[in-house]
Amino acid sequence: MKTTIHCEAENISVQLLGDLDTAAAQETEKAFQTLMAEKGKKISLDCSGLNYISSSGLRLFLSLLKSCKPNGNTLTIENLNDNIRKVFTMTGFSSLFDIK
Amino acid sequence: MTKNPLKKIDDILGANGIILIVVAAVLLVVIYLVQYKYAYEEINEDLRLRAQSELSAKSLTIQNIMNVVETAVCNHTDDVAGLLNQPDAMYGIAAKIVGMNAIITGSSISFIEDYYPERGKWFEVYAVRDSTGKIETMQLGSEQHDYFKREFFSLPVSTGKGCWTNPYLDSDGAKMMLTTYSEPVYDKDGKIIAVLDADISLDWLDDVLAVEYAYPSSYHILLSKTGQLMSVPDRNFLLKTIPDMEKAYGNEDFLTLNAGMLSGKSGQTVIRDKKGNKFLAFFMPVDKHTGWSIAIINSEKEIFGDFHKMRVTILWLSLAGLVILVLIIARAIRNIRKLEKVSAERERIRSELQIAAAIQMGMLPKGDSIEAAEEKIDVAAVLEPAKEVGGDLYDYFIKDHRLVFCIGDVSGKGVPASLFMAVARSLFRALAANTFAPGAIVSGMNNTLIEFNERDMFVTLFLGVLDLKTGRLDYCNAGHDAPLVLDAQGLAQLDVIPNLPLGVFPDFEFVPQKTQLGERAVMLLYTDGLTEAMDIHKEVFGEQRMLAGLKTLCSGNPDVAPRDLIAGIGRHIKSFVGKAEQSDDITMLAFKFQRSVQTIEKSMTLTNQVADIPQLNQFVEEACAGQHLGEGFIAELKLAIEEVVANVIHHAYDKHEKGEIGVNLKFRPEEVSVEIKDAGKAFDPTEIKEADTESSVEERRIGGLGLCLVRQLTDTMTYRREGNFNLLSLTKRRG
Repeated sequence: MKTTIHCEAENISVQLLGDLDTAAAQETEKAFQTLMAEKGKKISLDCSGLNYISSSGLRLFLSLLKSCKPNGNTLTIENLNDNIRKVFTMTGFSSLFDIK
Repeated sequence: MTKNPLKKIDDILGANGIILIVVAAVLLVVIYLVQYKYAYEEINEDLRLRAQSELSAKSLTIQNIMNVVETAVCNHTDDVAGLLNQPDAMYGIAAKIVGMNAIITGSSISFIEDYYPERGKWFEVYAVRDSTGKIETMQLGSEQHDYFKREFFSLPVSTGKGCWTNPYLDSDGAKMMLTTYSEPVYDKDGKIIAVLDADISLDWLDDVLAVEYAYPSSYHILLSKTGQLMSVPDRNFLLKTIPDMEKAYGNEDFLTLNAGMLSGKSGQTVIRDKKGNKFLAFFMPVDKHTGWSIAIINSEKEIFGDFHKMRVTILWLSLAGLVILVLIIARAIRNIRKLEKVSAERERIRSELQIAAAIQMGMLPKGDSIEAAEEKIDVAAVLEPAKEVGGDLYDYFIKDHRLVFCIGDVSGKGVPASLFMAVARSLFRALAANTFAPGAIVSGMNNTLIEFNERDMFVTLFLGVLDLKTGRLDYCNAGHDAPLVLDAQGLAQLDVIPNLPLGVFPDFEFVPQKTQLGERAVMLLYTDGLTEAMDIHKEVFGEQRMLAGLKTLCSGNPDVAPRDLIAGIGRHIKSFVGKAEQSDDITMLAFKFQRSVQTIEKSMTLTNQVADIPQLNQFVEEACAGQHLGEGFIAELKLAIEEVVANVIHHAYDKHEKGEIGVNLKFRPEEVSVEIKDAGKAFDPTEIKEADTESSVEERRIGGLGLCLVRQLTDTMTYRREGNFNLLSLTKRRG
């Protein structure tokens, strides 16, 4: 699992690559914590390279989303594959996130 | 053995029997008493009437005789009065009276004192018949024969009327009993101047009274108005009184008779002799003139002799009837008890047969599909015995991907057949455990059955071994009906060599056969109870009806399930047979061949470390590869397994506790099943609440997501605790 963060003015683009399983979620959590510390930014998660996500990964997404409002950040999720989109639907995440 | 006699009677007759007998006895006694009373009264009344008429007849006879004498005397008083001036003419009058009637022994005309002074103070002319019958006359009056005080003279003089004297004995040695009728003779001035009398002998009384008596010991008593006995059986008491007899006999009852007779009325009394024998005495007055009373005395023993005999006879007959009744009731009760015993025995046998039926049914495999290791086949069977237990059998089991089955029919029905059936079924199981060669199994069964076949029974049997992988069917028939096969080509009878039934011929060479069953072919085996089921007109169901029934069941539904096939035929038979009694055991066995696909099983073990998760996911991906599963299916299965394992890592084990988690995958044609096993503390994830998937971002809880996913990604999730292990099973259907 590889997480790459690009900062460009108020836009932050995060590229997720690989499987976000229970084990990977532990490493990814650190990268997400830096994002949660940002203020007044537009964060977009590019999931074109994300193959798989488990509930641990979903929890990270939810924690990040919860931190956005108080920090004046926005969060968009882009390029979800079909499998992950289905998981989002099952868990009711589709209605919480701004998915493009 | 000491036994209360009442208890014994109760044993023999029972409470109802005793009541019946007591009622019968009471009835008999009542009937007897009533009969006795009426019969007694009847006899008594009859006797009284007879006595009365007899006494009346005797009285009348006596009165007639007495009247003759009275008339004779009365008619001559005028003669005397007219001839008073010729005292010697009196002799002629007296002699004439005597001559008138033989009963008159003498007659006298006695004048009052000094009526003819020239003749003296006493003048009594007397005429008497001597022993030769000549009538003599004489004058009797004298100092020695002073008649003035005598009753025959004094009584009519004092009363002025004619009267009878008390009887008396003749003083002339003859000792004849006499009585005298005296009539006063009046002169022109109306003064009594003489008494005209006639003596009569009373010897005839005995003759009159001694007519035929009703009973041998019956007798009469004639009593004068003063109570003198004028006729009595014991002549010693003549002219004595009844009290004299009482003194002599010491019998007080005579006094009541005496009083009754002297009262001048009719009546009845009972007298007893010294021995206590009873006598019935009826009495009535003869006439007022004489004041006599007549009585007839009958022995009660004689009166009621016949009646007593009859009474005794009736009593004995009643007793005999009662004894017969007791015997009949005792016998009836014994029969009833026997019947009760027999029906209790029958009930016991029935309940034992029911138990036997349950045991027999318990021997047969149940259910419409069987599964062993990786094989599964649809099988359905039914056995309906005609009686409680039957001689039909079927059995099947799966071993080494083969279905081994048989159907059979023992000759005969009921218990003997059922025992033989049990033996045959045990032999089938025992022999089929060692070989899959139908010929060998059938031969082995044949030889063993013959060895222990005392009753020359036999079994028809069809035995088959079906390879569930290939559809190859090895079979051997032993005189049984050919099974039917329903496949893509339609309905057909399996080609069978009949061979011989089992138990007939030792060491018989049973020829085995083989065939190939097509995919989804249904095989139906049955016993002849099916084709030979009879309706009320004894017409059999027959093969044609069975085939026609099968065809209607299969038309439009080529993929019929064995269970539906059997139930359908069962309905056909039931409607054909109607109300007729089931004549034979009916057994059917059907199965559907479906080539079995081998289950592929893969498993791994990981530690309770999150770091092992990628390894788990890799295992699942690799295991699923080549199982014809879609990419999405694999992703979902992988996610579901990871979520369960993650749950186990977080919840079943404490933080630093080390443990292992086993994951086992089974790939079946229709589904993939997963079993996750761990040795952590008991933890049932199925009890965890549904995750929150609807509330807003702020309210959304972080936990529970994993199980929410598992539930949605799989078709079943079950948990069980086995020993120290948690076992969670998931299944996910293909397609």
